Amino acid sequence: MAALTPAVMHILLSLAGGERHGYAILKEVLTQTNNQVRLGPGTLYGTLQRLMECGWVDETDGPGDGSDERRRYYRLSRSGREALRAEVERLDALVRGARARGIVPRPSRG
Amino acid sequence: MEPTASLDTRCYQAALYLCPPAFRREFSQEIVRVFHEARHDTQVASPRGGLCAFWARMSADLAVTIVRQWLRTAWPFIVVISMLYPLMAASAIAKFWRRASALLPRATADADVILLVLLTAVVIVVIAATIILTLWFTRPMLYRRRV
Repeated sequence: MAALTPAVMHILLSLAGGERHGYAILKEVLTQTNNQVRLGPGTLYGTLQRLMECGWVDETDGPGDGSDERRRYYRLSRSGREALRAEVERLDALVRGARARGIVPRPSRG
Repeated sequence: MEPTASLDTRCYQAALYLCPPAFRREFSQEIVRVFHEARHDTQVASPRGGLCAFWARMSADLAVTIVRQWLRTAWPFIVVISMLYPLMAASAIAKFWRRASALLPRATADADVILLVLLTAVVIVVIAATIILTLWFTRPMLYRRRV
């Protein structure tokens, strides 16, 4: 499988925590990247469109807890979760290889 | 979008009309809602400098989205193919003109006028043929969408 684009990776990671609407995904991406990655709405929905087309993300009816029903909610599908796991494993192997070559410092044990 | 939407939100919503119709129909409401919420949060966090950076970021994102979404449709390919036919015709006319101009008297002042009229006609024919062929090739797509 080809490497995922950063936008795809961040959106899949944000949906790994549960179903979210568009703006919640953007805020989650901001949080998980320490405000480093700011996706725009066009990029977000363009990416969600592609992810839904390949079956990695599904649209849901929402949490049904009285939250805004006009919003559209998205969740990770099983194949999306598998793709995310494969990408994380790929990145993990990459980082381990880099550490073995002394490129990045080893994580502190303290 | 709320009736009290700000001017920039309305401008952003209008600019979304540059996106392909299918994408716009599917996501424009959500995109405008996210823009509106992000704008509100930015305004609360940093009223002045924050909004300028926000507009710059949103404009760039929208521009990239418009290009990406059009490239995902078959339209650019169809337009290129549609342009090929009239350009080939124009090329043939140009070759014909080169031969025909040798037969015309070079000193006549009307030769320039004839050339201008012919060039204008060729440009109009190329544009018209591109539009007509594009519409002709996309007929099945348009019909399928209506159904």
